Amino acid sequence: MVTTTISIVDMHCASCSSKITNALKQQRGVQDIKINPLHRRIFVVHDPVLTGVDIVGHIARLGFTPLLDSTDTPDGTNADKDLLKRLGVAGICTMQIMMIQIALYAGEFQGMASSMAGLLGYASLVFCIPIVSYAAVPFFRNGFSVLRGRPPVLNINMDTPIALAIAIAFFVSLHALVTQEGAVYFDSVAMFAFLLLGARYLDQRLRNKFKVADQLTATLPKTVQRLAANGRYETVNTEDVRCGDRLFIAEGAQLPVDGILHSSDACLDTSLLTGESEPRTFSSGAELFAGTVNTGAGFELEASRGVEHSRVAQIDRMADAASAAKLSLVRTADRVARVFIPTILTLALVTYLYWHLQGAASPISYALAVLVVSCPCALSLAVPAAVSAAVTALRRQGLLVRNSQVLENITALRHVFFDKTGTLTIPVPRLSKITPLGRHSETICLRLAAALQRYSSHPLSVPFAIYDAGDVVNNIEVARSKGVSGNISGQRIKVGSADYCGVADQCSGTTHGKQVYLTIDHALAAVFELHNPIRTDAATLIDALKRRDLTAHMLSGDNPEQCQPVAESLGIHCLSKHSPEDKLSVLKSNAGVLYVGDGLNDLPALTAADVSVSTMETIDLVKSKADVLMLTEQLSQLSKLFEIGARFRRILRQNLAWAVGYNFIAIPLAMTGLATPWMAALGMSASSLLVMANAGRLLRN
Amino acid sequence: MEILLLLIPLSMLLVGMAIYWFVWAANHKQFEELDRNAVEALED
Repeated sequence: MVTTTISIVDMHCASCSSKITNALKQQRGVQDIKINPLHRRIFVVHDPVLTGVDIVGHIARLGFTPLLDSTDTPDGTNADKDLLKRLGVAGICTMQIMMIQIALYAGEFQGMASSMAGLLGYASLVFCIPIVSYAAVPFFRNGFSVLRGRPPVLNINMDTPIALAIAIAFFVSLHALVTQEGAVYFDSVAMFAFLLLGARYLDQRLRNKFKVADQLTATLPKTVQRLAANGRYETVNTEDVRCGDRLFIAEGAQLPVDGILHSSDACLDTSLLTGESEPRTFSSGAELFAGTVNTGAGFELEASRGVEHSRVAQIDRMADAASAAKLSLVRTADRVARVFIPTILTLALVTYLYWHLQGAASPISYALAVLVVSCPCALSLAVPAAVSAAVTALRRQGLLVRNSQVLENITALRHVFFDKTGTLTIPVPRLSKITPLGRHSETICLRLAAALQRYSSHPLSVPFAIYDAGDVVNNIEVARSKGVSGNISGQRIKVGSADYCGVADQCSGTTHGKQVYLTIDHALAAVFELHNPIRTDAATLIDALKRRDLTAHMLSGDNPEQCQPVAESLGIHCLSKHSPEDKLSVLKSNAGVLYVGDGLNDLPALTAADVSVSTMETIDLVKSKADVLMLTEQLSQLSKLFEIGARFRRILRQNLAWAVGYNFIAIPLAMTGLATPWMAALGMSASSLLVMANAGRLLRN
Repeated sequence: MEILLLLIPLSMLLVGMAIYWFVWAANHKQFEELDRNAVEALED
């Protein structure tokens, strides 16, 4: 039996999930289904004979959009589990070692028989073994990794000081235990490993949250109807579709490949590529793209290329390439480590040689004292402490940081690009103006329009719903993306576009917003104006950005007529009609870029921007590409990102400065032999505490 | 203080068991999907 995890983004409610589970339970091979309604995921336990693709197919046939997460052991959760086990082992052992160490500390002050101290020392050694041999191994693996080349060079990174600190403290303590001379520091080893594993675990958990199939192409349908030689349609896998294949795209289906339209007009939702969900009409012979959704009647499509070469797949590849080039400041901490580590090792060596030449009894203890005192504990904690504090501080302001690497990029930002719909404007349209042109009052017109809009699934019909008074409509006719008509109380009512209502000659030029017309018995009765209102705090945010010397721009896939008014009222630069590829090239040509967007067409932009922000009101795939997620509707909270980002940078530098600086006092003391064990322990603990307390300042408002 | 000669090995035994059960729980997904069951009860 294997467990397959499937994300179903449109499984909104209990009836959806029970529909799915009932349908799946009837399939042969399915043993059990567990639902996680919170994350919109289901776990299907089934016979391996049944593949994940089959199950996804069953769910898709019900009308949902399933995404195959993975089978049996998803990558993300496995890494989490591994880290959790190491953390748990470290925690349990640390508790024991701490207890024993308290006894040893007491012995330092009150006097303790050396045999007792020895016993306690060996006991803490035993408890420390699981930590150095299992729990802390990831630090050794990364910290002591070697870059291939001639000659092979030690790859010094953030983990190197950690690995060194643990290794040094452990071996020094071992040495002290065996020679029965000197103090043991197993508690430092344990505390260190435990705290750092904890920080790493929390960081990784956040990173894996919302992790879903990585590519846009994963959202495409896995099967499609293809015309076979015998003239009938058969279901084939999308990946088997070749150029020239004739496919049938049913009403409501998503196009799996790029192709040429072969029937008469088709109506498509192109939000994947433009960000606008209002359907667009295409005439026969037009080029259509994979990922768009058919909102009209079914039509025939001639595939122009296989799915790997579809526009959507190309966008994926561009996004991947862009994310590799993401602005990554040579991490300050890495730079410090690269200088610091070789320096202390050299100093330890120098100390050893000096005392050896002086004829000292045990020159090694002086060298070890240097290593212990300079113990890179503070250096290793400097960054994780600041990062954890910054992430918490941001979360309290309603900003969830998914990718903690971008924290250092915040102060380097110069440009902010906003998507329009859903980001700067509220995603749902509102009725802004009603102009009754006939005998009927506003209220009546709204009622009539609402009654007809009941039968429409067009996004522009949504704002009318509240005016519905339950009027009975007969002879209903729905013309997709054009309008609805019906009879109410004997009168022929039409609601829709100017062309549909037959009043194209009577309308004025395009105004801000979209217009819906109402005719009663072929006479124009009213004009409704709808638009997406700009978020009230968008202006506040733009001001705050300007005060920080950041240039704000709008980067949208929508038409200039819709974008210009919004951009002008906010006083920002407007870039309209930008496809996902266009958005990507704009971001790449600027340095220090923040991108805010929430649609599928923003995916490459979110991946490529130096810092990217999205909202929670979107699908998991988009959330998994954004670096920061906004937990509130308040766009103005974004200014807190810059505030805390600047403070983070300051505190990070302070921490690093202290971690390195304190050694200027400590190392000379150790080199000359003036450092006693208690001084060393005090130095290590105090410097670590100071670094963490300083990081805690980020949490103060 | 000779009792420590018994107590310390005893604590090692306890720690060993603690580690064993913790690793068992982690391997059997006890720490995953903590909210699901609570929310599932509401769905019915």
